[in-house]
Amino acid sequence: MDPLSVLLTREPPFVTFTLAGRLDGNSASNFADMVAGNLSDEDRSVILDVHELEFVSSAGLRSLLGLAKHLDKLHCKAVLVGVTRSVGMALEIAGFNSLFHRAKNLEAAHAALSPKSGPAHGFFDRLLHRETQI
Amino acid sequence: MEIPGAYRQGYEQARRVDAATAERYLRHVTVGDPQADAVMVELDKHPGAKRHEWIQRGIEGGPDALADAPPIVRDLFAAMEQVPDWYDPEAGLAGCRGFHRDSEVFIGSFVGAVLIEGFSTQISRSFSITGRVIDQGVRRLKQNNRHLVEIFMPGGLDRQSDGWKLSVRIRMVHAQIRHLLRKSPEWETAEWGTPLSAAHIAFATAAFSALLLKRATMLGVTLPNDERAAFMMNWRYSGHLMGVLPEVLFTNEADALHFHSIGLMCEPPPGVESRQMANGLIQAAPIVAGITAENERRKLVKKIYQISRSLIGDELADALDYPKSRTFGVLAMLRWGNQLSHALQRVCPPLARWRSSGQFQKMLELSHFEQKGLAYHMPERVHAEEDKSF
Repeated sequence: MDPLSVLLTREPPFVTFTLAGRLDGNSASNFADMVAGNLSDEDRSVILDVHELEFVSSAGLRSLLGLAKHLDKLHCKAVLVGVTRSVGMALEIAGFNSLFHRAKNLEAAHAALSPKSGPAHGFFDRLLHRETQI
Repeated sequence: MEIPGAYRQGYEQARRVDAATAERYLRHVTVGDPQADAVMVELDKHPGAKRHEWIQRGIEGGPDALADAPPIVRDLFAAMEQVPDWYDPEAGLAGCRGFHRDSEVFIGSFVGAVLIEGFSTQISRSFSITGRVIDQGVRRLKQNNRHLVEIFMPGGLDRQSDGWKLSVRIRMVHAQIRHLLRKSPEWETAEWGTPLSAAHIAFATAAFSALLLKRATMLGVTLPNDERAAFMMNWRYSGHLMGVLPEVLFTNEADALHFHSIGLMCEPPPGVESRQMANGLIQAAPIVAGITAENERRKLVKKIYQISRSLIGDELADALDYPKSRTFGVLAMLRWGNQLSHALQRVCPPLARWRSSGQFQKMLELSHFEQKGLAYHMPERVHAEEDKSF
């Protein structure tokens, strides 16, 4: 049984992937495939809702890194919502705090992803900037 | 006490320093992992596919997922569900920070010194016979790195986490290789003791923890006391999961270093297998790092030999047939470089973030990730070249 469930919802212009469970060696590959397979060329605003994500391993971080680079190539803006303590620590020690912008809730994520909030920062720009809490 | 031939001379020397620890080490040179070993004997009676399936279900789902398995298999996985009193996952987080802050230096110390020093012992013999590092050296190194990264992820040693599963998988693989070697005419028990003995697994765990800290410190890594203690605790728990017997599992850093030093005295001097393993490891290291262009690879190999010689000392380096190289100032330069880097990061947080991210990405490149989830196939043959399944 896959330790991770991913729910896809579309509320144009936003695409939301809601992750629940564990993003680890057993689920990371399927997660990456699922996201890549469900993004269209028109998608520009992606939300990763992780408030029910209990744990992320190095395999999980690897898939998140791959996702960040993929979204960057598509010129997508992406926001992480509901980062838990455990996931936050994993992102911190991996130096991935700035991999994605963060938001406290979906409303804030929508605001961050609106056209008025400016163009997507490039992948390497985000690595150098402070994490964005909205 | 029965003393395997290869250990008689070293044991006499070690007894003069610490008779009790030397005797404890030697007693465990003729012991494997009794509970896991008995499981492998039982599993040998069943088809290969069923063996793999039970091991997978045991690691993923515990004893409740093994209703159809022999009781001895269920009992082993039930025992592994028990978390020792001394393990505190919350306290372990400090060890995760400490490791990942300088993961590059830790990996460098691991490959350039700790693994080499491990191979200088009889540990190299089983690897040499099975060919599992010669034939699959790059993959084995990357698996080692993956294990290290996972046990130092926050929550990485929780029951359902990859660090826990990989540690237990290592225990199963060790037990299976031990089972295969015991049956093999190539293994000389009277001379070498038990293959992948309890002493060796304990020795390796002490080396991968305390000796690794020592070597990383030589390269400029400084961990505060809470991070050092947590680093050791995480390794202690991983060692427990890998089947290190309680009588030889270290309790703290000083204990681990002492056990390691006495163990080293008991071990015979490096032989052909040790030289083969140590030099093979150094030659493989650039390929693990993705460097295959001939000139670049040679330059890096030369550099690794120099740093390794500086870390392990001339006596061992010469015994392992290293090429000669200058060591004066090598460690000092590396230490200053790392300390300067840390100082710059303190005054420039974006640089710290950049470095953290770069290091972790490098760790991911140096680690082995299966295509579709963790793999649980066990070795079926003694020799790697004959074993398609593993």
